[in-house]
Amino acid sequence: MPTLTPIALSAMHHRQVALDAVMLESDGWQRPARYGPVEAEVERVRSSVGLHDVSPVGKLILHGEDITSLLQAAAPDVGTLDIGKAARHQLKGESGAMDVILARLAADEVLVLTGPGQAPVVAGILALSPEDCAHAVDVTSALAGLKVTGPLSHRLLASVTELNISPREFPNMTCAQVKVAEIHGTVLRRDLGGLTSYDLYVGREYGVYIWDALMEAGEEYGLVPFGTEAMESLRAQ
Amino acid sequence: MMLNSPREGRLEPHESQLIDRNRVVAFEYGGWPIKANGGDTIASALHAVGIRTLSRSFKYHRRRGLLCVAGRCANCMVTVDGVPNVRACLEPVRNGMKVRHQNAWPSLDDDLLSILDRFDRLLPVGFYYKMFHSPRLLWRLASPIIRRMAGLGSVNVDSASGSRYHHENLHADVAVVGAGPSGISAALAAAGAGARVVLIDDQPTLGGHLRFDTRTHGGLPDFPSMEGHALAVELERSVRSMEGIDILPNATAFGHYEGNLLGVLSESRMIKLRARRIVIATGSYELPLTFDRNDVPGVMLCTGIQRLIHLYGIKPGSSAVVATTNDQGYDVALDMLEAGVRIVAVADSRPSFPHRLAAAATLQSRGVLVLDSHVLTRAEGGKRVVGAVMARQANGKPTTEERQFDCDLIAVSGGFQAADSLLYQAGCEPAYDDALGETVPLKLPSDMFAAGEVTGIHDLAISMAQGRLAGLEAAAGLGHTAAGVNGEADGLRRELAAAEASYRSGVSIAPMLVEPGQGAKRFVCFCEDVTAKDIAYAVDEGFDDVQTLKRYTTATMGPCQGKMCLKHFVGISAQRAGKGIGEAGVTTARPPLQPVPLGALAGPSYMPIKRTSIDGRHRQLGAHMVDVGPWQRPYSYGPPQDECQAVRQRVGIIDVSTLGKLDVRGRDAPALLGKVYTHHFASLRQGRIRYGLLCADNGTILDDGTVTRLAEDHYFVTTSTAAVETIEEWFKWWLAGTGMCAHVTNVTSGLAAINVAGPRARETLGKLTGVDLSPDAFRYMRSAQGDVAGVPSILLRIGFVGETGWEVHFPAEYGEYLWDALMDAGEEFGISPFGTEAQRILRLEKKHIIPNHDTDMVSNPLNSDMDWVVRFDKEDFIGRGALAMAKERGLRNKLVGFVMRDGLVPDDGDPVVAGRAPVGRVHASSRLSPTLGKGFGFAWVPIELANEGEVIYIRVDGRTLPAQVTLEPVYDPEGVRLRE
Repeated sequence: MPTLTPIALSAMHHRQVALDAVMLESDGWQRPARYGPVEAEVERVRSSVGLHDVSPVGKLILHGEDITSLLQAAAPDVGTLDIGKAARHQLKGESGAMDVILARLAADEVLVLTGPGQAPVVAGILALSPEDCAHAVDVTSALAGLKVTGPLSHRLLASVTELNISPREFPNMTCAQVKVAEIHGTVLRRDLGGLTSYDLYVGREYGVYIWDALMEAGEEYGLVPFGTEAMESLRAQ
Repeated sequence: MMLNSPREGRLEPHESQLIDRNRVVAFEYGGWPIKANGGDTIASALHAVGIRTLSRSFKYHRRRGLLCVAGRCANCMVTVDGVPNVRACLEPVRNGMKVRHQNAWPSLDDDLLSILDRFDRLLPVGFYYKMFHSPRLLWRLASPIIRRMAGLGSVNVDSASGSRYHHENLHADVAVVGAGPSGISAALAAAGAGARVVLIDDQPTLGGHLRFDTRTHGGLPDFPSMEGHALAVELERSVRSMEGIDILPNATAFGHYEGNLLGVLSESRMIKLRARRIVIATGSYELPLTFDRNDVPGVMLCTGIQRLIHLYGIKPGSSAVVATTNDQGYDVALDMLEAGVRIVAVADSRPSFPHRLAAAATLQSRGVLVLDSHVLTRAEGGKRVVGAVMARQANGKPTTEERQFDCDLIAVSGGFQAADSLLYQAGCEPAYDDALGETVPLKLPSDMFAAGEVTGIHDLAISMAQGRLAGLEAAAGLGHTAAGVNGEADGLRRELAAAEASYRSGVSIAPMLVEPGQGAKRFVCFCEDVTAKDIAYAVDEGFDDVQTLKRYTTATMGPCQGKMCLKHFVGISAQRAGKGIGEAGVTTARPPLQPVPLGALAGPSYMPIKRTSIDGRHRQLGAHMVDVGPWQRPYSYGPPQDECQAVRQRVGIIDVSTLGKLDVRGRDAPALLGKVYTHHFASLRQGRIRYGLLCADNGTILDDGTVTRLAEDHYFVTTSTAAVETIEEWFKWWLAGTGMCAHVTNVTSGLAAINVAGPRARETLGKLTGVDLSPDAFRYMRSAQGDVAGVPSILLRIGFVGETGWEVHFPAEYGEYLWDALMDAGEEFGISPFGTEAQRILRLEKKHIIPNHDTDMVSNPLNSDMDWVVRFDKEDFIGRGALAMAKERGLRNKLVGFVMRDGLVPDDGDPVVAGRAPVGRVHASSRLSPTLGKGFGFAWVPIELANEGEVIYIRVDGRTLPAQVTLEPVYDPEGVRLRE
């Protein structure tokens, strides 16, 4: 049997290739590094709005009545974490520690975000026992992720969702389940280097659809796709 | 010839004017080049060069000219660059724009269909309910002709207009509709208290009627004495500099919907504005008067004339007669005098016009003839106004004492009608206020406020105080109560009570009298060409209720939606029916209150399409893609029969990622599955797979799929492609409130799936995995977890297409990678991809039923030949009771397989016949069997025919053909191959 190295592709891969993105391997995924000059991407994101594929982000859904006590065991400072709020925490368990973002979607549902490839580690830390009524499902593969960043990001999203996404009503580190361009999605505001920024997660099968819908709606606001290099630069700023 | 409007017919520049005389704009009107000033509208530019007829009317093709100059009436609708029904009085001129008239042929000046005006007796009100209906064929001939003759512009069906419009969602604490003095006061007050405000106005500049008001207003709090237009500028400045107010100019709030949602159209933006509180400060519409030929071009509303003078610097005519029922006529007469128009006479219908009115005295002192108790009875002229006839009124009726005047302009003011549609759409109750002579809002919903002239009070100081109070109350209701706000609101309430009482005592109303007239037409509804006589006639016919009268006459139903006519329409019908105006009620207000292009409502079209993670590869392979529910799937990559052969003889792969996949976990998962499926699942051993069928309470089939036990408390469930959301909800529904600990997660999106099937499937897959696939180690209906080409996978050995095969489920991001790896591995064995069509044929040969495709709403497992899945030995499952009863009753018909004698394939729905009578029908699944070379499929037949080998008859295209019933699969009935 030959040794093979699996290549992971985002749902939006072919759209990015069609835009002449320079694709580079990162954590086993083919990711767009840049679509053109990085400085120009950064400039457009800072002045209007940019779109970045974050599908490789590790994602888990925690279900169950006992998730609060379960999280409190792994992160003692987690508090109650109200529905619609998100927070950064470090989860600690026997198998190690991991930095995550916890987003409370419902009383019995929490979305956990972690680095690419880290979702199984997080599942291990949470070490659910059969007595708990709580379960963690790795949904990394199931959700396509998009980051919408820049001063006009809320205007772009307001054209595809009825949720009141305005910076005042939807402050940093809030989350909601929304209808976006007629499909179900989860939106999390997570500002980036001083810029208003939203993560949007939809079912992977809608990846191409939502990419097209946002690119079309974004024409009005000067939307540009940006790659991992511009992302690094924005994060550093 | 170039018609030059920038200079000709223009007044001296004035601060109130919107036009920029330093910028010349050139456009085309019906082929003529026209020059205009920047800031002109199409209508102002055309009026300045002397064009008076702008359109032809809906029914009689009469000439119509400028009336309201405010975008309310339909008189000035034109086609601009192919877009029909654009209001010329609102549309700014642009260089190079092409403007055309509508509803006239061959030209606006010589419209052949104007002959209809002479044959009005043949086209009485409601004629389309009475004529051309018998014989029935006649209407089919007549209606296209009537449609062509009547009407407005024509829609360009080629234009994808939806894509021109952009949709946006906005949210506000307080939405203020109307940026006149009251609206601006409300916005300032609400924002001052800390609320986020969105202020909407349908004009490009704010200030409402103040913009064309040159009178001096004093005694207003916060503002020194100044002219109206200057006050408008001041108000706009303050509202623009105020923090927390978003202004939407050029935006029409056309409808109020549930949950305080306002539909707002602003040029190409369609805005859905959700507001927690709404202040309606939409002002009022001035109304025309009803007299003979009241539609001749040159009859204009007083406010329309004011707009021409003050906004566009246009001298509206050379000599004018003014007819009014209120104080407005005097102001416009003075404005016209200032603009150099000779005022021939001012007629006031009130018995003794108020001598205290300063404007009337000024007019008289400047030699203008002012008549009280006089009404206009007739306009003279055909192409345009050449004169006016008035009569003295006595006892509320015009006498024969008439006076004729020559003039080229008739200024009319028939009073005001509140612009209250949004209030009534929101559920507010209307009431007729006799003292004010207007319909006013009686009771407002708690999250809605009204301020300004929409309340029926026309007084600047009161409007501004009402606005301020509404703004404060709206903000206070949301918890925004800055210091001193409550005290200020109380003070305003007291002041307003006193001011409104004093205003009421000073109102002088003319009784509304609309005579049907004798000869010439007196229009009530200009949009639909409905005359006073038409309405009187319809009331006499028995339509005495305004709601049915409206539908019968179509009055108020045209593009203006009653803005020019509702009050007169209600008035004349009440008068004719012998009711009071208050008693007659009003018609129901519905959105949109202003015409909205359908393209704007539709907006960008969203057609969500689901794609599997191997979608890109299918397209590269040239697959013929088809819609399967929300998914796009490969139908085939080449001839489907070839793909069938590849699977039967070599090896094939198919992308089955669209299968619904549910992850079911928890200590009570076995109990949950036992409840919803007809089969046992608690007894299923780890690593085993079982076919499962789901029934509804009434025993009908919901869906099927496989259930694999991955661990003690962990199951992997597949469902059919279309049903996964339904089944997910179905599981959760049966969990809710039971206290069972089980969690259902839809993992369809996360897992790609490929079915590898065929005699060489084992060899192909074996090259990529360390999992032992040998027949003894990996038996039929067993599962295993392991890497395939380095990708962690779940392998299910099942046989939907009837060959040795595995369904490989794996993380979706590796979809294309694993597909490629399998294609490479199978190359030496002659691997072929296959699509849904080949899969359909192959499973049909195995008699594998697809629920909701082969079965229908009333199919149950017993009549669908799947009674082997139903375990009556189980204490309970959903549908058990109904199925037990069905079993006891016995079956009347059954779903069976059939095989034709030759290659002919019957169609979906072809009847199974006994003699000539249909007794059953063929199902959609029929195909040509590659194994038999004959047509075959499923059919519903009576139970007595449901025997192996029974000959049935199917009627195909009028021929009755024999077929043989088969209860066994036509391919590999023993199931040897799929177990190999």
